[in-house]
Amino acid sequence: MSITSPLFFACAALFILAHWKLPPRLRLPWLLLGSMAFLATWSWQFILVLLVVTAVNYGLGLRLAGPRKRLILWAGILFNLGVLLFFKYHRFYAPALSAFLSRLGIAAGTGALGLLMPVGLSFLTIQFISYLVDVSQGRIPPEKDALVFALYGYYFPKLLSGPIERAGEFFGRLRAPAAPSGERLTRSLSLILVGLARKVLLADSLNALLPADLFENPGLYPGPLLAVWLLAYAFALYNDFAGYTGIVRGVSALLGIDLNLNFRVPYFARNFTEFWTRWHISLSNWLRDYIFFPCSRFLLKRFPRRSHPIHILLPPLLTMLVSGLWHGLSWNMLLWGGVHGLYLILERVISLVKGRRAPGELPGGLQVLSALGVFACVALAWLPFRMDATTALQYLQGLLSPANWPLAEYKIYLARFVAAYRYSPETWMPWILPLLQTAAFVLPGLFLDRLQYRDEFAFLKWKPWLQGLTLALLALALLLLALTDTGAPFIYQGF
Amino acid sequence: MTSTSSPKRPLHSLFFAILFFLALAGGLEGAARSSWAAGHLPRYRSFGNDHYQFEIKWFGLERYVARHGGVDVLILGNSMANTGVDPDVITALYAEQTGRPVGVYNFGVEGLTLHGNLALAALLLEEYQPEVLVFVADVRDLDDANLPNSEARLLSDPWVRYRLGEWTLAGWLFDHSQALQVYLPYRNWVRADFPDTFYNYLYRAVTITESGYEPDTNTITLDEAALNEIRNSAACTQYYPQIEIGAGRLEELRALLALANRHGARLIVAEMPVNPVVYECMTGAVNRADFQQAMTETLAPGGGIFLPAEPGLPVEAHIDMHHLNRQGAAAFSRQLGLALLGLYTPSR
Repeated sequence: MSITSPLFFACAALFILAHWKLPPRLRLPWLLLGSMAFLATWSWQFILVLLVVTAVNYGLGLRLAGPRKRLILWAGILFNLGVLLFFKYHRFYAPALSAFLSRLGIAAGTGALGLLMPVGLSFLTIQFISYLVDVSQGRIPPEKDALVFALYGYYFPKLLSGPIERAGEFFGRLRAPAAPSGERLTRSLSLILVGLARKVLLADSLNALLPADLFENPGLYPGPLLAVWLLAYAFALYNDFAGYTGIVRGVSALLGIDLNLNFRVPYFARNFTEFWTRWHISLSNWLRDYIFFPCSRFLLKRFPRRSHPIHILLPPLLTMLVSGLWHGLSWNMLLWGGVHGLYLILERVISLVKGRRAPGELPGGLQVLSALGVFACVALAWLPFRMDATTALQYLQGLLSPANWPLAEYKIYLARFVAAYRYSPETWMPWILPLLQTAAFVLPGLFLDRLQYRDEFAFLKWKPWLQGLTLALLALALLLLALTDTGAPFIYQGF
Repeated sequence: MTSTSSPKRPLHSLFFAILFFLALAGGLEGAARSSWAAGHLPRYRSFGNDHYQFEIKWFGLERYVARHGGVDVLILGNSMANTGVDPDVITALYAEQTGRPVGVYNFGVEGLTLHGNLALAALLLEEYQPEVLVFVADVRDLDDANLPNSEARLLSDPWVRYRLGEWTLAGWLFDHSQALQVYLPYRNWVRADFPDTFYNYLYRAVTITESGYEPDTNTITLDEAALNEIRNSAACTQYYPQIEIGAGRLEELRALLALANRHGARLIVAEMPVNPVVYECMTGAVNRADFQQAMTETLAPGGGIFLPAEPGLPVEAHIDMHHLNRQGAAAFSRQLGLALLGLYTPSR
């Protein structure tokens, strides 16, 4: 069930109402039941897979209180990674495994191994790993309540694509949910509305304006269009995921359980380090705490001199490569992670040479320029994120080659557009329209970002008439865009 | 959920939202209905149906009726009728032979069979009360298995369903809101393929004549090699030999006749003069004579008339298996007009 469907909202509303009507002792079982029902709308088999994974992690967590912690921890990590590899990457090994089995005389066509990846498994895997690590290091006690632990895996608002929650904090919120109030209701609905606007209004529309063959055959298009569409893709990706997170945080908040913030206006970041504190925050924090810091600590033991180049090179590169691999076991994802690793290394080298300055200390103009520079680099890195490395290179060539920028033609089209837009739309429309389409959705997105830059709920400070006008315009825009066939699943659900 | 902001009264915001929404929607609707809009807004309108050729015809007929005070003869059928019948030829023939004007409009819609035309006829008879319905048909119209996707999509459209008596909110809105009708032709403006599809729409909106005829722009001449290609095509070797005259379609033909009779209109079914090669393809259970017999036997008891295609249209009049070129359309229209002259005198 898509979380932007009217059916989801209708079911969620009924579910939440029933939740608060139930006696407190029945609320957690109710949450688990509802979460399983939600999961079953994708596939009932996923319930079983998650049951096994959750049960094993529950058991391992309890065992971590006893001896041989290290062994159990590694067994748990390998188990979780193994499950992820088994389901997520079966396309890689299924043909070879089939061939091997048939050599043994066991008939197993690749169809028999045509497994469906359980939704949200990548997110779940790293949550369970962090739970085991935290328990083994004594940061949190092992969770004994099987119901609470099961909800850590199944809780439906965070099931599909996070946010990635830390076990200790999440267990606490489950046990002591916030009481319903008018203020909580308003804020939750505000999160849902902004999330819906980001997903349905901005992300779906930006995705729809990208040609179907853009990411297969970018060589067909001139440089200016490639640039405009890359901008559109960058904002589509961001609004898609940020929109999803807003909706699920809003729904969860209505149940009294706050989920972590995942985005804080990332495209306004003035350096790459800041970008990763604003983009997919729950994953970035996880990577920082479970890859970057352990790696740095390990290196410090081996190379105590802090200025040793390995401290500058290895932790960011390794962290970003792991991030890439988490998104997908492919060369292009590795490239995406590697590129971001290099950005971070470069930034560290520059800060070593020029001295570290917080982004907010820079002059205003330089802050804007830095943000634009960071955005351009991040947008270029989305190329291998979206397409295979060869095609990404083609895209980059088309984007940067001066021969692919027929500016003289553009002047003609622009003149035609200004002078005679009514009479010869076939000459200017394919050139000008993508720019207008992109601007129509990127600019409102930037306005929204500006609004939420300091306060996620700034909208709630407005006077009621202004809130009303905004909601009315939003509803009208949604109504008109709903007439377009642009429905698309959440991009991050694929991970 | 920490924030420094404090929410204002949410019910007030909701009240304002509803108020502003109604004001905005009302303002846009008022603007679309104003005399200014008539002169300044684009003339293209839509009900949100993705079969835009159907919509071009619908609004074309609306304009035709506004200009001529009504329509006497409606031509129904599929793309063969669309490109095969020029109502102006029939009108000129009537003027020449009787000195009386007759209003003829071609409502041939691509991809529609008898099944879809039955639904369409209900809409058109209700709306325009023509005196004659001419349904241009071929053997495929009687094949129960012939269910094109385009027809299914057209019939499941909210506006069409609404006009056929099934209430849908979207259908009601599209039917009553002038502002939406002005916006809907551009509803896919966010899509990458919008320029292409929109030019196609504009091109056809301009090419289709005032009386609904869409002349075929092909200049193909079917030589022997092309005819052999048709003879070897899957349509000829696989589809036509398997065609059967379905009881369901014959029932729909009776329903169409009853519908026309109820509205006081006469139903004439004209056989489409398809490429003669098609008859060579009918090697299965059904041949042309079976089709003609089924038509006559079904229509005659209810007062309907079947007009078999006259011989005389050469292969060169066709562009493919089924469609006529301009010359072919002119010839077929004349044949049809002459037959109509003997069957119908306008009452206006």
